[in-house]
Amino acid sequence: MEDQRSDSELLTVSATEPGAFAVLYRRHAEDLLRYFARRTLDPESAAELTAETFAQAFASRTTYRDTGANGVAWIYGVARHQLGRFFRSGRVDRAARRRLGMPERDLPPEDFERIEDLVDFAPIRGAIAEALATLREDHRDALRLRVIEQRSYPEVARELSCTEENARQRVSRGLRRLALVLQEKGLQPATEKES
Amino acid sequence: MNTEIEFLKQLETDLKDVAARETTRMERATLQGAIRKNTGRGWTKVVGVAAAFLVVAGAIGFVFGGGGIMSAQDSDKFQQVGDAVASDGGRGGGATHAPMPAAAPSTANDSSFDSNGDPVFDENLHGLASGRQRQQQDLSKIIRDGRIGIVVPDKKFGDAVGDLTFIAEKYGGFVISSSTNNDRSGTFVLRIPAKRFDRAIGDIRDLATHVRFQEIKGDDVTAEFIDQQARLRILQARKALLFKLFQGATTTEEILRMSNQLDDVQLRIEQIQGQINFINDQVAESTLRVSIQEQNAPKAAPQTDVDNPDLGSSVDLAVQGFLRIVGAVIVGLGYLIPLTLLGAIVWFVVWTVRRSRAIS
Repeated sequence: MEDQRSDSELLTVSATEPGAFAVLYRRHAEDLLRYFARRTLDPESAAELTAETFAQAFASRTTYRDTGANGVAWIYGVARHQLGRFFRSGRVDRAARRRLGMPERDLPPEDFERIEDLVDFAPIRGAIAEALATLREDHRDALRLRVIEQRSYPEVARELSCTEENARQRVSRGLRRLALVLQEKGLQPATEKES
Repeated sequence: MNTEIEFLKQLETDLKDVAARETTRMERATLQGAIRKNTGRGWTKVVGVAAAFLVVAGAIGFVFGGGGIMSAQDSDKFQQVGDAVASDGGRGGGATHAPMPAAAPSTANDSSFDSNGDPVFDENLHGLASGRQRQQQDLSKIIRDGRIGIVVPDKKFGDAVGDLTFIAEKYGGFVISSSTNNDRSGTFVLRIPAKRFDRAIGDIRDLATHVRFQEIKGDDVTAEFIDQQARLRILQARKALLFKLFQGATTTEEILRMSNQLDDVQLRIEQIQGQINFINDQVAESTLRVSIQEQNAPKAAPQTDVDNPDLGSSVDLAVQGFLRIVGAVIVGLGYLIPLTLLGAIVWFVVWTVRRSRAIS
């Protein structure tokens, strides 16, 4: 049965009842992943940022104070902070997950396409095409095949004469680099409003 | 969560694990806190009762152990001062540290001293004193010192100094040293026969329009005196023995050896005799520091011979205070423990009677 408590209530209660945080996670995890995916363009980074954001929010849940705003806004505040660090350093922080003793998990191969599906590349294809010139050749080819020509990963792997896993890595790293380049140029990859 | 993304499912599992661990940790912390709280509460009660018991014991000890100001040792010392030195009838009352002893009969022959310079107490004049008390009085060796600060009317400082010198001579004493400031204030050190010490203080107080301070101290050196006397007797016996051996010596070597030993013993006898004489002298005569100042005299520079508190004396006072409190608590426990036991017995009897009635 669906928990009827509001996000703010769940956050407040989670201070003494940690299990309540899982309800909050189930409600907003996919939205937050989409939020990160549309900004980083990279499934791996988006997944890592989602995990780190929830870990950080869990670790800091006792500091949450209900001021009347929706509780999820507080989680997106943590998310923005994580995203800013990512764009500044080019890597995802792992401090909160390490502190909580959470295991390191690789993104399963099938999740790459599922997360890419969360990103709507259509509005940013033009910007991507312009930014491709700044990437390494192997990353650029992988991105061109996958994002511009919208080929599947098996086809990309075949075209590039590499394994599927290698093709995913090239696309992922190329997208991460692309997101950083777009960020440096002041071009926001994501166009939708935050939740 | 309806998602096909495996990573999010794994992440949910991980977060649930973390939440479960956190719940366990919090429950354990709550349990430990409760145990600690309960245990602490028990200990707090025990400590509280013990502390209350000790405080009550201390209060009782202060009340029954000398009014809470003087320790038993002080009381003894005070008693010895009172016993050893003849009072002038309590005229010089108001001492801060060693209150004046209760009025004792004045002696007719104040200047009586024995061969050692010890004051001699006339049994007839101490009519109420028993023979044993008199024996104790004769054995006691108390060195009494005091200081007094008096204020005299303006332009009367010179007269007061003259009167002070007269008082010292009147009681067989003298002025050791004096220092004056603008002929309006000054400090004088007097030596007064111990047995007339209190009367001298009384006369000095009569000079004043106001007594600024008065302090009399008694230092019991009886034990040291007896110790020195015992040593003296032993050495004198040894000297007599050596003298006999010396007289019987036949060879030069024996004569020389005996002579050296006799010289050595004689030297030690003289040293001890000197110390005994010094004690007798200190006991026979008391030192009195008198500060005189006119009513509106400017404040003189602090006197160096005034007992200024220093770190050492502060530590001594602290230790003394601590020991007094411990002593008071011990005295109080002496009263409180039997009373508590008595109360417990009464309570047990009452409880037993009530119980037996309830059963019947």
